[in-house]
Amino acid sequence: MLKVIKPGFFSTIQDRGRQGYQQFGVIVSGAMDSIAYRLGNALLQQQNAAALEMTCVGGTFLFTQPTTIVLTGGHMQATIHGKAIPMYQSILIQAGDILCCGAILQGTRSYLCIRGGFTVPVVMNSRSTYLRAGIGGFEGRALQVGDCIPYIKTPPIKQPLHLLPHTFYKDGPIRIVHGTEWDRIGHAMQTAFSTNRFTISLASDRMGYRLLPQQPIHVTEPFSLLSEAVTFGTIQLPPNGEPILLMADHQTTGGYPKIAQVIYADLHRLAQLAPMQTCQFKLISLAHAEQLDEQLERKLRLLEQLLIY
Amino acid sequence: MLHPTIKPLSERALLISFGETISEETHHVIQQTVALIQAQNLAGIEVTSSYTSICVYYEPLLLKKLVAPFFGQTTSQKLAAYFELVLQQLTTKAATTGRVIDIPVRYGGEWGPDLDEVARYHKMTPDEVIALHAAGDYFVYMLGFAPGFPFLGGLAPQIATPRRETPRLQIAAGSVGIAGAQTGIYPLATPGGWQIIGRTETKLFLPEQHPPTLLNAGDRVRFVAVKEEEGC
Repeated sequence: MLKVIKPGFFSTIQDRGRQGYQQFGVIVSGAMDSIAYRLGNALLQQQNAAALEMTCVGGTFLFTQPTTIVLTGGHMQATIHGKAIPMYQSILIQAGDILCCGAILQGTRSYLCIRGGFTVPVVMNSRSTYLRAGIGGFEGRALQVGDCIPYIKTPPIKQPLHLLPHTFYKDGPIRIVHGTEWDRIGHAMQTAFSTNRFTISLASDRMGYRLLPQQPIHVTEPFSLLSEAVTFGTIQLPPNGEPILLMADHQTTGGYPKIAQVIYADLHRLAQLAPMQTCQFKLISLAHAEQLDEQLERKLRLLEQLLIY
Repeated sequence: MLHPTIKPLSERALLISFGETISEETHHVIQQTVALIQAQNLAGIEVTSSYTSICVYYEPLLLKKLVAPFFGQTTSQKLAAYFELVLQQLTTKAATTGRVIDIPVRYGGEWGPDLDEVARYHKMTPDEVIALHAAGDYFVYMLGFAPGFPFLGGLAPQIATPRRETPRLQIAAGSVGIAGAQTGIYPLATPGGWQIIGRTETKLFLPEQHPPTLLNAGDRVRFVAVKEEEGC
């Protein structure tokens, strides 16, 4: 098993999330950066195995059994017995190895993927941590010193695999499409939102990011909706003019106007934004968003095919 | 027959809306629609429902072939056209009666710290508030906000009470509360601004079971006042 010597700033077990339970008010959760998560698993020749998501500062972990691991996501300096470990490369682990992860230098979230996945109990079809409900993942919470996370013995990968992830993480504005209530907010608000720069507030977490507009947004005619579905990447506009960007642990329904939606192909980039960082948005058409989603999905599936089979 | 509008929530989700009125009629149309959609056995979809809308989450690559013959520039538009066709099968048949679930509640005291305030607000006695709340026949319109949390319709307008000015940092799981014209039960301990008038020990969220919730959209709920000494 994995013994937690230092948990890191905020580390939870995640997989691709809980599918099929939103009708019960049960959130999806899962890896905030789904691309980093999928690439890590693909490099270990597997899919949907539970990984450890680290935030801002990584932890220190002792492996009691041999295994193979991969680190993905934001660039993090990591060593084993003082020797630097590269990201996005499969690494053989011996019993007794201690992995020391430092601060995440680029981006915000990194993933420790392990061959066979972390074998915490499955709850409602998933090993993702549901923090608010205190279930799933490791005991439904972030890791603490002394925790022992189980994993199974697996044969080592015959040839170490690595890949260069930079094509998945481009700089530039976050691309969005119109939200369901875009037309109702009027031209002034539409302009106020789409031309603004936003700072990610410190009051941001896995549920959502609070966006602080550099040019204040005055919501002259606030309105709310009957509670209805929202999704990862939905941008809501509450009466105080500070948009809320819903992330992996978003609640299943909401009543604030949905003014924009981050495109699927840019969701993983959101996970690598840090509090106090600024971002801008760029409106594109749904047709364009669909194309980008399909291109990205096909690219990932091809990679998964090549690596796994 | 209500005619729904279909619009995208995202490139991977469609919202099917049936107007803006909360009513049991609308709810029955929604439940029928959910059943119709699920009967299509589409690969990789997830369907949720709310007061007046349905959301279908889908994977475009899995449905591209199926919707190719339909009109539309995008998969999203083609899928909307596909659902419009499916929805033509909606009938005006009567709704099937749902279950009635009794929820035993200890009202007032340490279980309902806001009961007195609610009574004062309405110039009633606490017993009158309890009588009105427990006499209600509540309809579960949807689940959301928290796992197993029911959005209940049917609160007597005489006891509709605004949220607390200062929300509590922690409300115990099982707390029964009022917020505006809504009443509900907190399945988990969370912060919140509802007026808490009682508490139940009945578990609303059962993660080890399938389905993982006590209540479902379409159920009816009755609150049953129990005395301190009795089991709850």
